[in-house]
Amino acid sequence: MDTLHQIISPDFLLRNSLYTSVLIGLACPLVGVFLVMRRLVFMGVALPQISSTGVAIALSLPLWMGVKLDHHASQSVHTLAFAGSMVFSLGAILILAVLERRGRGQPEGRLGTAYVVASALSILLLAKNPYGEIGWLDMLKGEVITISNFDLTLTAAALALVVATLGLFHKELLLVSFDREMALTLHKRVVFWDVLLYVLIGLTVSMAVLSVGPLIAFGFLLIPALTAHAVARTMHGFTILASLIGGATAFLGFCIAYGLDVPVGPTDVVLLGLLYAIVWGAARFMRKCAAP
Amino acid sequence: MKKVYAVSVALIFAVLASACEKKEVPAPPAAHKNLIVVTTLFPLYDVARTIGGDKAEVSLILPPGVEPHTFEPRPEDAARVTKADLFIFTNEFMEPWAVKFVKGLNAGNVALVDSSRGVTLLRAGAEEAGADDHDGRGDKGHHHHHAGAMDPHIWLDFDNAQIMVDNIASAMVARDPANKAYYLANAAACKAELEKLDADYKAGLSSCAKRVFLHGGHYAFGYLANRYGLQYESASAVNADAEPTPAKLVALVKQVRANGLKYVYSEELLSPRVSEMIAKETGVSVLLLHGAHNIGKADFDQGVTFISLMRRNLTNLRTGLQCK
Repeated sequence: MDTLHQIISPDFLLRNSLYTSVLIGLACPLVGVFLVMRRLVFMGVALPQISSTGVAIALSLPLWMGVKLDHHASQSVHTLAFAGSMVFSLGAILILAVLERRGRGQPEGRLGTAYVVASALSILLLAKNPYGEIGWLDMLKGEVITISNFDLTLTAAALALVVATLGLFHKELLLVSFDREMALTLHKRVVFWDVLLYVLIGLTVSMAVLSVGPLIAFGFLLIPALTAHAVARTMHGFTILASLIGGATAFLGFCIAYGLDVPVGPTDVVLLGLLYAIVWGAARFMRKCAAP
Repeated sequence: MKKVYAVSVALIFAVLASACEKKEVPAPPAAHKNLIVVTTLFPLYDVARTIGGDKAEVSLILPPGVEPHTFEPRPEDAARVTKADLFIFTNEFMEPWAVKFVKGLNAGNVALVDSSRGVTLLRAGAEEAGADDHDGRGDKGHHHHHAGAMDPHIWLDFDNAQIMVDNIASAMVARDPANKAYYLANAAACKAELEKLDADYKAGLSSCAKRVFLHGGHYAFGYLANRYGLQYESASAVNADAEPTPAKLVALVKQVRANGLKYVYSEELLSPRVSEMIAKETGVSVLLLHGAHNIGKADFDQGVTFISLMRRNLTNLRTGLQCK
């Protein structure tokens, strides 16, 4: 109880980290439900890693041009990292989605290849950084524990934009995602809505990767959505429930990490996994009981 | 169409194969019979080049600026080690990959030198054992989280550094007995410098207003703290890629306030964000405390030595501990 009081106190030292965790926890599942419903779970694995590679490339660019980055100028470094992350996430999701729409080849194979190539590229870029890896590892892993006011503002603004856009155009985005033929019949601008959805996914993934790293971003993108999918009956309920599971787990994970003196990110993911297993098991049990 | 694909694939492979060709490196003179020494960390490199002088070609396996705890050897490192006479590493806890790596190369000529032979290793966080509840949270189990792992940063106790000098000199003498007197004379000079450094640390840190220093990086300065009777806390555990925990950061902030500190320390080669966050929260300043695992390109270009790094640390410690 004492831990909880400390954490929710407005002058808590790590308030920015807590707020960012909860924001990521609430926002990631909102786009994660589209990945789950479109059967693009592998995209949820590959995208954070590609986004992370985008960070590495963006940080490499000034070095290749002979400009040494001042790692104490954290705002400019963070903005550069965000730009790289966003460009790569968006570029990758557009290319992968176009290929998927054409229906040729094996989507899982493409996503798997994109994932491993992106991981390997990050390692190569680190190895060839002529000034060493000062701060890069932390940037690529995510630094939820050291979120500054600027980082929090940037994350909050980006995620607010995502949530507002999803709220405004939820019907259109759902229609083109799950009943494309109907959308075409209704003369909806299918390509426009697709691109908008990809921009929102790219933006959310970029913010999540920069704050919590690719592994935890992946966790929040998919596991709350999968958990909610096991019990939700309507699309609306599915989306809201996934978001609430993400936000609540982020908060609870932070409390547990603080209480047990363990890192935040891995705690969140283990908690999400446990919750998924329990809900999935319970839902299965209930279905069995309800069966005649 | 298939032929076009086949030709394209062949062309791609041809272009890639041409990229594999190494740039021409000037061959060493024919009469060249120097000892070839490969080292893993900067302190070993610096000591080995001091002892080896112009009788040894010493290289550092870590590229400038690369954080050593996460380092993986590259193919060119394997080639370099295969041609070496000596491969010097710190200990099995610092470079757990080293022995396996060298043995896997089947390079029969290379002698593996464990520079920590004869050094008593401390447990990471051992000097905290039995301490009071210094994080002020009133609960147990939070301030001994480092204990258990061995602390591999032995070079930060200058007595250990002298044992490392002896080990490296012995290995050089064993491989090149013709130059024994030369190596031993250089080793003696190196040890004398370390003794002087140790004396300066003892004198410089004897009359300080504060006896505690806090570090935003991984646990690296346990030996130094132990030797000079200081209390030391770090944000992360002994492995550099360990993530700091929220509870530890809050405890460090409380300690800064409780001890009336004016400075916290940041780590070389890793992000200073943790130290900066603590500093911002408590209104103190950040100073660098260099663990000397490796140095950046700028320091390499300026000819920085282990001794000069340690003297920089002494200056910063004296400032941070408010020494007279």
